[in-house]
Amino acid sequence: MMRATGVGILEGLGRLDRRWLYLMLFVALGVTLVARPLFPESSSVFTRPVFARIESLARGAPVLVALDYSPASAPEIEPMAQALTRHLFLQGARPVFVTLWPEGNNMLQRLREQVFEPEFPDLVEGIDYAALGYKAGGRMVINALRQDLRSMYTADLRGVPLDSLPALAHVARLDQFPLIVALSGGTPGLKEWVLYGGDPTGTPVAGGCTGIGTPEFLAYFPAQLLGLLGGLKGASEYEAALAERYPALGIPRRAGRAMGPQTVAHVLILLFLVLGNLSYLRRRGPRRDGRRA
Amino acid sequence: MKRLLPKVITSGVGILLILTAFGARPGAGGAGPWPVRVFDYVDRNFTVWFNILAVFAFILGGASLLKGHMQRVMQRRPDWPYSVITLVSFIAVLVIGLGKLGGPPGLQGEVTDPAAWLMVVFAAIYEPLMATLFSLLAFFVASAAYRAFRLRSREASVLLGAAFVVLLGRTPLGAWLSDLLPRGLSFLRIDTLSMWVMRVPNVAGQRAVLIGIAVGVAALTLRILAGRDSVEGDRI
Repeated sequence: MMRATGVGILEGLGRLDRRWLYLMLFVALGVTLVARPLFPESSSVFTRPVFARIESLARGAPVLVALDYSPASAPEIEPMAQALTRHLFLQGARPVFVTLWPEGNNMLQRLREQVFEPEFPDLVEGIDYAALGYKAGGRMVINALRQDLRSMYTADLRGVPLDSLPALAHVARLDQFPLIVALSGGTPGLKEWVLYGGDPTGTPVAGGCTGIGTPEFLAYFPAQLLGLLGGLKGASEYEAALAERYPALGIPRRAGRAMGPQTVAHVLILLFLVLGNLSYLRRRGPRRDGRRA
Repeated sequence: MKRLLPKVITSGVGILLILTAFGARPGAGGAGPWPVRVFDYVDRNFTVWFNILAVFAFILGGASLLKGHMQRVMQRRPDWPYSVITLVSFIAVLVIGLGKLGGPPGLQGEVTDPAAWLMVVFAAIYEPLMATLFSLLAFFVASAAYRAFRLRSREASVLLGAAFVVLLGRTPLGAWLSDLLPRGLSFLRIDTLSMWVMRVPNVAGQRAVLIGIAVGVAALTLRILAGRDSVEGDRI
C-alpha cells in the first residue's frame, strides 16, 4: 500500500504544474533574501592570482579597468567591480576606467556613487583615477589603445584633455599598464581584451565574468588570463580575501550576502532535477532487457 | 569589374593587415625602413578609420529601426502598437541623450551626471526592465531542469552528473557536505570534484572548440583573400 502511494506520488510529480515550481523558488529565494546569511568563503586557484597581482602593484600604478557589462549582468559583476576598485584604491593604484558597452558609463556612475564617493571621499578625479568612458568599435577600440591611447580618447568623460590628467601622465599605450582588469558581461568583453589587448602587448589580463561565462574563459587560464573571478562565487571569494586583508575596514560583503539565495536556488534546481528524473524513470518503466533507462 | 573590384580590395586590404600584424612596431616612433613605416602607419590609423565607420553604423542602425517600425505602424501590421512604443521610446531617449537634458552645464556636461535625465531614464526604466527580464531566467532554468534534463542516454547521464557536481560545488553547501567526509575520502570532496570538472574536461572541450573554430576561420580567410569566396561579389 505504502509502495503504491510512493509510486503514485512519483508519477504525479511528473505532471506537476510548473507554476508550483515557480512558487517554491520564489518563496525560497524571498526567505533567503530577507535572512541574508553569510557563509565562510575561501579563495580558489582562479581568484588568488588576481588578488596577489593587485597586492604587488606599486603605489600610483595605472591599471586599466574595463567595465563591459550592463544592468542585466550587474548582480554578478558589479560586486566584483566594487571589490576590485576598492582593492585598487587601497593599494594606491590609479584605475583608468574604459568601457566597450554603451551602458558602461552608467555602470561607472553607479560605482562612483556606491564606492568612490562614500568610501574614498578624498580621491580626486583625474589625479587618483581617470574615467574615459565608452567608445564604439569593440575589439578595434582595444587595437587603437594598443597603438595610442590618445588616438581613441582625446578627453575624459568630463571633457578634460587627457594630456592634463596626472593619472595618465606616463601612459601612452596599453603595454604601459602593468595590469588590465576586464569585467565582462558578454561580447565585446574579456575574450577581446585577452586576444587583442593582453596577448599582443604581454600585459597581464585579470578577468571577471558571469557564472555562465566562466567555463568558456577558463580555456585562457593561466597562460593568457592571469586569473578569473567567475560569477557571484568569484566575487564573493574576492570580497572575503579583501575582508581578511583589511579586517579593520569592515569591507562590505554584497556578493557574500547574495551567495545565500544562489545556494538555495542551486539546491532547489538539483532537487527538481532528481525528482524530475525519478518521475521520468518511473513512467518509462523497465527496458525489455530488464534494465532501467 | 563589378565582381572583381570588391575582391581585389578585400584581398589587398586583408593581405596588408596580415603583414602589418607581423611587421609593425608600436611605439617605435615611425623609425626604420619604409615597409616598417608603412606597416606602422596602417597599424596606427586603420583602427581609427574602422571606428569612424562604426560610428556611422549607429546612424544606419537608427534609421533602419525608424523605417521598419514606421512602416509597421502605417500599414497597421500585427502588433503595431508595440512599434509605437518602440518609436516613442527611441526618439525620447535619443533627444534626452543628444541634448544632455537636465544635466549641468547643458551640452558640454557629462551625459552620466546624476541630474541628467538620461541617468533618470537609466535608473528608473532601463535598469529595472533588464533586471526583471534576466531574473526570470532563474525560474525558466528551474522549470527546464525539472522537465527537460532527463537521463535518456549514457551521455545525458554524464552531463547530468557533471551538472550536479558543479552546481553543488559552486555553493557553500558543497563545501559543508564535503567536510562530513572522512579524511581518507577527501578526493570525493564536491568542491574539489567541481574544480576538476571545470579545469580538466571543460577546458579540454573548450580549447578543442576554440582551436577548431580558429582553424576554420583561417581557412575561410584564406579563401576570401584568394578570391575564392564570393560573399561580397554576390551581394553587389
